[in-house]
Amino acid sequence: MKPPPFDYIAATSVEDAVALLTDERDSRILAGGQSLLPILNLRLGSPELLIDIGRIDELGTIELSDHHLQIGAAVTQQSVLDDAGVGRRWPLLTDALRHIGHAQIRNRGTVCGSLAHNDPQAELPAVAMALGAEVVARSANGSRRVAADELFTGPFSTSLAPDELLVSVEFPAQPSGWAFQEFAVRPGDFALAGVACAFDPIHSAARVVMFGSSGCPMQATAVEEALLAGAGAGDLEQAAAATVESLDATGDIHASAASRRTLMTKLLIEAASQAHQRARTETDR
Amino acid sequence: MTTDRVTTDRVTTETKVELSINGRRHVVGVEPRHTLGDVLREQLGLTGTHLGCEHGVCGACTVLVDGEPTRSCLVFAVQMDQTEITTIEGLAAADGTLHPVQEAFSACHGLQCGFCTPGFVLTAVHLLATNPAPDRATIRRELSGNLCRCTGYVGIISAVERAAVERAAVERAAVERAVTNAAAVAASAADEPSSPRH
Repeated sequence: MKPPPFDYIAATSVEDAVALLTDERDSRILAGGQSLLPILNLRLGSPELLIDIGRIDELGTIELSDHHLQIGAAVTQQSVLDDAGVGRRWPLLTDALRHIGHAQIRNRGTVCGSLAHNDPQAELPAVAMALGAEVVARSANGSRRVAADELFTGPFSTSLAPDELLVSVEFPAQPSGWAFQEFAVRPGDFALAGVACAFDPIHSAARVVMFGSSGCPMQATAVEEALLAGAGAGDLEQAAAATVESLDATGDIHASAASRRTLMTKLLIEAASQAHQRARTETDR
Repeated sequence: MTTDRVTTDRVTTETKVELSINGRRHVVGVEPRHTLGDVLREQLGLTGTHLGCEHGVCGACTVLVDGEPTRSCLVFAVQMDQTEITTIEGLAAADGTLHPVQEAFSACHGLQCGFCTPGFVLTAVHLLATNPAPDRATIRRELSGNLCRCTGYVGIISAVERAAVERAAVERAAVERAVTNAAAVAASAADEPSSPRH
């Protein structure tokens, strides 16, 4: 189908974009558009105004040091994936990016757009939670930082106010233990289940986040504890089974809720073991 | 549009965009809701770009935007101002000689009904531009964003493989010719009396 009519304005700066967000019309930010255009084409949504932030130069930058990575709202997934510095220091993010759609999608789709959209099957919200990322939200009244844990509130919903623009996401240094696991029927399909895991044995910190099987990315606290306790095979299995028991898994034409739970159990165990293994290899060096 | 809701004078109902398509400059008036695919087909008559699912699943509408494969159903033409676009019409030579990738699709039965073919060919052209010698698994993975309901994909994978092999052969032949020519030039230069250089 074709999109319903709307007005379109290409914002020239962040100030311009946030001023436009105070417009009385029902407005949406257009960045890469790889989730928004399907919604419009299928007429699942009919905003009155699209504010295009794709041509705002200041949003198009990746800034990185050893301990800090900042990605602007207009940066595409592919350009982060192609960045060798990101690949060296944030392999969890790079690995997750490879699983997003196909090259045709990643060439346009943005990292920040994926966070703001919060599709339950999307990889990046889970990665943001696993790595303890923060986003910067700007409105005409100023700017605030929102931790990933506070950002994702439900399927396709975030704690961003309607007049706020997610201008960038910031990742702290990635710990040595990490894993990204996802199961999709074909490469590039939406995940039926997935796990992002970050494990820092030095500071005794572990984050295991599930996505794809329920409405919102969720921490698997029992698995995190098992990982911190040494990741014994029996402990991990028990923790994964307990976690998945309370998981409100989706059942649809792609997979039943039971299949998703089975997949998630397996991915949790694999991800935690892999993260533990990587952390050990790193420490042994 | 009701005037009481308008809060800015920059409201766009129709706007002019400048697109360079297959090397030719076009200035077209578009509505914001027109996708690139719609504009290519309906305003510019470039009907080689096929719109299948129109929500980013089938890949049939893939074109190259500034060299990168892009789904033309998932970008608005207004976003494409000042970009360079290659469609399937831009691949063959002016005299109608097919692009080597097109030729390989024909030779390997990489198409049947042809609906998905433009998207596949353009994705493959980009793949070979960035990875000149992909193996079959890589080809399969890189083309996974394009769906074909006729061929079963085997002919398509073979076509891309063949295009890569043939391109390598052409390049090898060119190098060999250059080496032979250089050797001949060197040999004849050695025979001639040296002349002062300026």
